[in-house]
Amino acid sequence: MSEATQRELLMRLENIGQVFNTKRGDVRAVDDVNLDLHAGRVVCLVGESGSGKTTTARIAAGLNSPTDGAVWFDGRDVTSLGRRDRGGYRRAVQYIHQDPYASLNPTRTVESTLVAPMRKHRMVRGRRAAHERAEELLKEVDLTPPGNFLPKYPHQLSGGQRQRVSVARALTMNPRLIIADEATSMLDVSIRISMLRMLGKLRDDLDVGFLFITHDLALAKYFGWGGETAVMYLGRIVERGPTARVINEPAHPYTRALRQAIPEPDPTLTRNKQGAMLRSAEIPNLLAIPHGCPFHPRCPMAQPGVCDVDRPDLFPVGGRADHTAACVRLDDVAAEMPLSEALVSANGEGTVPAEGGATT
Amino acid sequence: MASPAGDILSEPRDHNSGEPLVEIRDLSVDYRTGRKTAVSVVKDINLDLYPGESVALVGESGCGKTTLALAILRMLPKLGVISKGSIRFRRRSGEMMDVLALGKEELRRFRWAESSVVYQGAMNSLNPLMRIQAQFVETIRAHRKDMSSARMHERAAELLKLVQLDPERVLPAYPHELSGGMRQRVLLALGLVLDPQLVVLDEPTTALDILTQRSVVEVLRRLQSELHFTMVFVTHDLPLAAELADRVATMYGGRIVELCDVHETFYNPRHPYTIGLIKAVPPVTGDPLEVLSIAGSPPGFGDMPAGCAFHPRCAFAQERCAVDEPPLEPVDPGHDAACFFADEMSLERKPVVADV
Repeated sequence: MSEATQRELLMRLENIGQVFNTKRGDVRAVDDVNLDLHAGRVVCLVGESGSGKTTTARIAAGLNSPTDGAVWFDGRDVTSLGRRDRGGYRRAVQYIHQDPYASLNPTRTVESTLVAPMRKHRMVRGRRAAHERAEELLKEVDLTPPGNFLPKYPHQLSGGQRQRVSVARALTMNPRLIIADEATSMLDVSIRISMLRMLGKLRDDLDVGFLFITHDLALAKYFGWGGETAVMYLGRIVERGPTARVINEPAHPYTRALRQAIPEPDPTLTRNKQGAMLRSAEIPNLLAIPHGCPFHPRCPMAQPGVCDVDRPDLFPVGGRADHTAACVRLDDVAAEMPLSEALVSANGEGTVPAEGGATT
Repeated sequence: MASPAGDILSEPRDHNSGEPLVEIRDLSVDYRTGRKTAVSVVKDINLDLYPGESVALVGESGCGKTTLALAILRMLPKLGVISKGSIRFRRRSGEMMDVLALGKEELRRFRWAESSVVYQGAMNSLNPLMRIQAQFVETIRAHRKDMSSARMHERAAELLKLVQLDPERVLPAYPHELSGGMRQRVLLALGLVLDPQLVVLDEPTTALDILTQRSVVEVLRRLQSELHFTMVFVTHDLPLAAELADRVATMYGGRIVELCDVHETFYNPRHPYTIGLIKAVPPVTGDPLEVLSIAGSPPGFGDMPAGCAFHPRCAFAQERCAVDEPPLEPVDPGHDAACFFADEMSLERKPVVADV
């Protein structure tokens, strides 16, 4: 926390809410979300589909205007910005989409993809400078030698290369904040890691701040280890805190269920994870968000008369101000929803043959 | 123990025999690229699949894993040709049949009644205009003409219950009324409705939410232990293989480069490619471990490197690797690897304190 507060605050999302009016009624996709994004820091937003993480990201990027709350950038409400300042905000905050197959224009070469925005926003003077800058950016994203890639069209590139081009395009604007929306989820494991390494370099060397959206806690842990993680469920943040704590010692039953659900590259460990079964695998409809704690219909710890009555606030976990979770039964979570490592070490009702762990 | 599905549709299977259900020998698959040109996509595969086991095919995109899986059922796309080798399949009667020699009608019967495939992307595999009920009836009727409608309905309901869906709700529904996880489970049920001996799954949990993935995995595991079918699944997600496979075949450049028990794969891998794949997976539990990517990307099928296909990306490559192709050979009992230096390879993951 202390380190984060020393960093320059880039953006503050304050009580953000977004209601979509649909034929079947109003959908509250995001409800009362607060986030601070700092230079050189990563905030991970984790959740399943329908949790509101992409809508939150779009609001931060200025692609949606929230129906409630305010987005502050550099200390100013973005809705109050004039044309010129708004342009500055839009340049400083760049969005990387999930699908590099859809986000690049198939009729533009890599060079044109990179040069057009630079020329349009007058980031460089002259064709030659633009070309040089494009080469530099390709080196930055490890597409070398740049000469090989500049004349290529997206269809001539692999998925990982395309996603690197999307990042290079975002970098044309010298962004201070990058919003990466499942930016690596369509890539092969090995390419995914080299991509994250590259993004990590931008964070550390250029002090770029990140809002990193993922459904994969393992990636959040890897990329956001020194930063903050917020877990969203049905439009609200249900747990937040330093990534190391939220992922290693999750406090909310939902975060614990997510942790337990992720398969690990370790047969013994992963086969012991089946302990925490939810009461339902289906996410409730956003049109009919459950009363009380929105997670109670799926929660294995839900208490009738308590959890289905009032919606819990974010309470401090273990007395810490920087780690909070929206659950009234926080004290019982560790006992009632033990994590897999506890199960393995206790060697309880493991279903794995004994020879499994011996070979480690 | 007779399987709950087995005693309904077919005579109980013989689980005692240690004979393979499927024997694949020297199998190669080409994709035609022009009138006289073709690229080799899967090469010299030797693989036995045993009754009731679960085998994962893992590797990056473009390593030939889906092609191999589909070739077993002769479900290759139009341009794919099995250019060499044999696939033999043990019928319920115990007789071995040559899958490559099957005529059109025999193949049709083989595909649903003896084997089935569950594709990636549950939405595209269900007919959006038909209620789930009708999709079951159509499938059953095509293969079991003698079954009454009432019996078919009953059978569909049984299968849906097995995959933890409520038949009352799901049978009258159209695919779009179901969530992604529910559709994936409907497809599983549909794939099992004729009690196949072999089920091929292509990326069974990709594109599903994590909690949904988990429920599909658990359903699959339970189904397999109750129904004893043989399962081959394709995945790029190594943890899924750790979770569901009995044996893992790592594929690279169209070949199997390592084949062994799942515990061996993850605790004692011997091929540098398998080791690389495992090191690229960040774990969730415990302290962060060093995560490394494999430099470069898999070769295109048109320009496969000479020697070991992995050598241009391999940190341990020696001169010999660029010349000779290492054969898939036993390095330990039940553990095959295609690397000249397999004896020197081991997996070590260091913990990291700092971030990326």
